[in-house]
This record gives sequence, structure tokens and C-alpha cells, in this order.
Amino acid sequence: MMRWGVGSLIVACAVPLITRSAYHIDVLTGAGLYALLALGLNVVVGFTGLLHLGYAAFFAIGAYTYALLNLHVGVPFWLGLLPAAAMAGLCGVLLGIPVMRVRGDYLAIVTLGFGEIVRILFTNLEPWTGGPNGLLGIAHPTMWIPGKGVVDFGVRSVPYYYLVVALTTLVTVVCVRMNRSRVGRAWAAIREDEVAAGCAGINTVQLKLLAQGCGAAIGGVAGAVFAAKQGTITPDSFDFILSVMVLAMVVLGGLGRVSGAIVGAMVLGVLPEVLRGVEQFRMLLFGLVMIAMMRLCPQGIMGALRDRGWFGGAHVASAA
Amino acid sequence: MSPPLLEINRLTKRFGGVVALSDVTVTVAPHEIIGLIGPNGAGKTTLFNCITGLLRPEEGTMAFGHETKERLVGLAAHEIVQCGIARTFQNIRLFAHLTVLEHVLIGTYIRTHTGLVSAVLRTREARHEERWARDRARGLVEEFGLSRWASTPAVSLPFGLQRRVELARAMAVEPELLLLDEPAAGLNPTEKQELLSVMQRLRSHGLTICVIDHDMRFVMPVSDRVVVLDYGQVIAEGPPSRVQNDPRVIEAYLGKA
Repeated sequence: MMRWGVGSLIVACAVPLITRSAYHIDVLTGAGLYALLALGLNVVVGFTGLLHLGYAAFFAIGAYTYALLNLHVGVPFWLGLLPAAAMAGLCGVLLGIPVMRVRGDYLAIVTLGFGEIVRILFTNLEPWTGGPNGLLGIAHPTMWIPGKGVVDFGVRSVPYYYLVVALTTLVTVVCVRMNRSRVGRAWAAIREDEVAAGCAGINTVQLKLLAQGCGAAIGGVAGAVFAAKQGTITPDSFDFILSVMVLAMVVLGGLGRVSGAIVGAMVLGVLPEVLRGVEQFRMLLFGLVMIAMMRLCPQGIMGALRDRGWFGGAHVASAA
Repeated sequence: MSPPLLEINRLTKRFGGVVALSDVTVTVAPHEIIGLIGPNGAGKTTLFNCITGLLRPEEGTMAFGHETKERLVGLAAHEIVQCGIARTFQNIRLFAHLTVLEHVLIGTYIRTHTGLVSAVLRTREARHEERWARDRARGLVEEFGLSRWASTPAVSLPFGLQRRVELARAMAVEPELLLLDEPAAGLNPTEKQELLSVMQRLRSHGLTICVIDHDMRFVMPVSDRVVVLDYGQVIAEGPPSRVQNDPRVIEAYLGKA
């Protein structure tokens, strides 16, 4: 799996050398942001088995945290990443407390409500969030480059592309290591049988909160990148459809698989653009692809490939 | 006789109008094997569920430990495990998709301390502890004769082996008291014999065992003491030979003549 990871990274880094089209790079940057979100949601839904339908809220919280800190206090992007992650993570834990006693379908409904509440709050807290018009003039990231001094990312595509590739790589490593640790195993135990997990000595309450916090924090990082790239954020970028989309990526790639989250995000992030040629049938084809996937390989793309003996070993539980 | 390891005092558990356990008083001495028997619905599993924190009794107390007594009522399931009590389940509860080795590794959870940050940074301590846990888990997998299936998903194994996986997972927490809920159910005679010798071996290493069975013949030979439950009450208690001939026990199992 390691080989495939490094290979994918090399290919990803080479893409801007192959295509000069800013459009291609932008689409891939968008897919990369989706990958970050899918990796984060996978910690909650895939690793720990907690169905979450309001994940876009953490993306929004990260974006607004960086935007507000930047606009009011002048916090630069790199410094803003941390509070964006921390704020989203905190909200993830805080949401986790009241939903501790609900599972499955009920958890899905409560988290769906949470996602909507956050979006509506950002729409209505006009004095702070600018309401439906959102926040404007958020600073782009800057970077010091030898010989050129401090360079603003501005509205160019390539720097954001590499930023997203770097963050996705980092988060992937973090997720793989979390999954293979004792905490990751405890999450898997909770996912499979919460009672048996408790009777094996696992503090299920603490670990579920930890998973929700980690997952949300990753969403917060993605949010800050999004805000810095766009320079403008409005509440309608963080709607329910986004939550569903990210969940679809996680499931399509293979629930609980780190590689699956990335593959799912690449497929669903790029597919709508590929289908642009057949504009009217775009959503129809999109839906058909989803249905076909779930019929043919319900364990997701990476799950199916593994069962056929690809990527090392036919059966690796909670695999990366 | 040494002071008891587990003292259950006047425990009562009701489900609505049904009294599942009524005034149950049982003591378990260290290094003892206690057989808990009784007809179906007598409250045996309910008693285990109360001890392990899955159910909360309405009345009564439970104290566990050698010198310092932990009061068990009100503790969460994982806290009770930390006190030193592990269990298996009547209807085997394994983690679907996880391998045999992973099951046992999950059992070592409370014996390890690596947090998320050190795990992600792969600190020296984290790597050292992970190696320790894997060695320990492999040792247990071998001890319970599961080495061949270490990387097989546990739920795909035959029933008898699944029981062993559950037992190995419970032993990985290094308990002082092991609660076995009908471990012999569904086993063939050979497997039952193996289970008995495993229990005796564990006891000789200092473990205290409480074993449920509704089949008296299984627990009698291995038990130091037998407690008989019927309709949520303790109706007899004592050495197997005496309990076997107790008229109330015969009545509970066979009905009045």
C-alpha cells in the first residue's frame, strides 16, 4: 500500500507539469479539498461507525474561523490553520456530547439538524458573518521563496494545488497512523460492537468524542484552505448537499479505508466535470454511476479491489 | 478461608414488573471456580450483566478486590474491566471484519497507554508499546491454539474457535476474575473437555473464574462451589456433590414429583 501511496503522490506532484490548463488544476484542487473532507469524515463514519450527515458544518466552521481571525485580527493563513482546526474539533466534541446516546438513523437525523443549524446561524448572524453575502477580502496564503521574497498565492491555481496535495498527504499519514494504533483498533471495536468494546475495557464515550473531534478538526483545516483560496465565503457553500456528497465519497471509496476516501473524492470530485459535455444528463449519469457502484461492489472501490487481491492481501481488516 | 474477592450483597434487579434478581447474595473467594447454574430464565446472565456494568441493579451492593474494595454498582463497563473483571458472552460477541489477532490486541487496550498524538508521531514509547502489545497478543493467540488463524477474520471461524477467540480477548485484559457465560454451549464433547482443562490451567495461574451453565454435568467436575439460581433467587449453594442432591435443585430442574 505504501508503494501505491508514494506513487500516487509522485503522479500528483507531476500533474502541473503535464497540463498547463488552470481549469484542470482547479478541478483537481477541488477534488483534493474533497479528499481532505472525506478523510476527516472517514474517521467518524468509517473508523468509528458513527453516521454523520452534517459534516459540512465543520468545513464551514473552519472557513469562518480563519476568515474572521484574518479580517479582524489579521491572522495570516498558516497561523489561522490551527485555530480553524481547533474550533471545528471543539465543535465536533461539543456536538458529540448530546448525541452520545443516539445511534444509527437517529444519529444521522441529529447531525443533519446540526449541519443545517450551523449554516442557518452563519446566514443570520449578519453583524459578524455578513449574512447571506458572506465575508469578502479574506487574505490568500503567502509564502517565502528563496530569491523571490514573500509571494502571495493570489488567484493562481498551481500554488493551491500543491498546498492541497501537501495537506492531503499529511492528513493521509495521520489517518493511517491513527487507524493502526491502539486508538484506531478501539474505534474499530466500537464500530463493530459497542457493548463488547466496553467489556474489553474501552471507554466508549471518550473514544467516540475523540473520533468526532479529530474528524471535525480535519474538516476545519479544509475549511480554512477553502476560505483562503476563494477569498470570499458565503453560507450556501456549506449546504446539506455537500455533507451528502462527502459521505458518498467515503462510502464509494470503501467505508473505513483511508485510500478509499481519497479515491472516492477523486472520482466524485472529477466526474461532474468530466460529464460537463453532456450537461443535461450530468446528474442522471452521476446517479446511475452511484447506483451501479453500490449494486456491483457495496464494499466500495478499494474494498472491491482488495477482495480481488490488489494492493496487498485479500483480507486486511480496518485496512488503510 | 481467605477474604472474598467479590462480594455481592442483596442484589435486586427488576425489569418493569419482572423481578429478574431478588436479594441475591453471593461471595467469590480468590482462585476459586464457581459454577453458576439454574434453569433458563433464572437470572444467571442478568447477574453477570449487573456485575459487568451493563445493567444497573435497583438495590444491593457489590464489592470487588483484595485489600481495597471497589464498589462496582454505578461504574461503567470499562471501569469494571479496569478493576480486573473480564467476561465472555453467551451469544458470542466478536468484532465483524477484525482478525483474531486484532481481537486480542483490542483486549490489551487497558494495558497500554499510547495516546493519539504519540501514535501519530510514532514516538519511541509508542513503537515500543505497540511491539509489546503485539508480542503479548501473539503469545495469547498461541496459548489458545489460534496461531493458524491469527490473521483470519474471527467471525469466519467455526463456533468452537470463536469461543476461544472470545476467551483470548478476555484474558488479554489480564483480569483477576473471569466471568464465562455458557462457554460450553454449542461445543462438542472434545471441545468441552478442552475448555475444562483450559479453565483449570487458568485457575492454577491464579485466576478466579465464575462460569454459567444450565447443564449441571459440565460445571460440576470443575467447580469448587456451585450456586443455583431459580426465578432470580439463590436456592442452593455449596460443593457440587451436595448441591446435586439438594431436593430444591432437583425440583427446579425437573419439577415436583
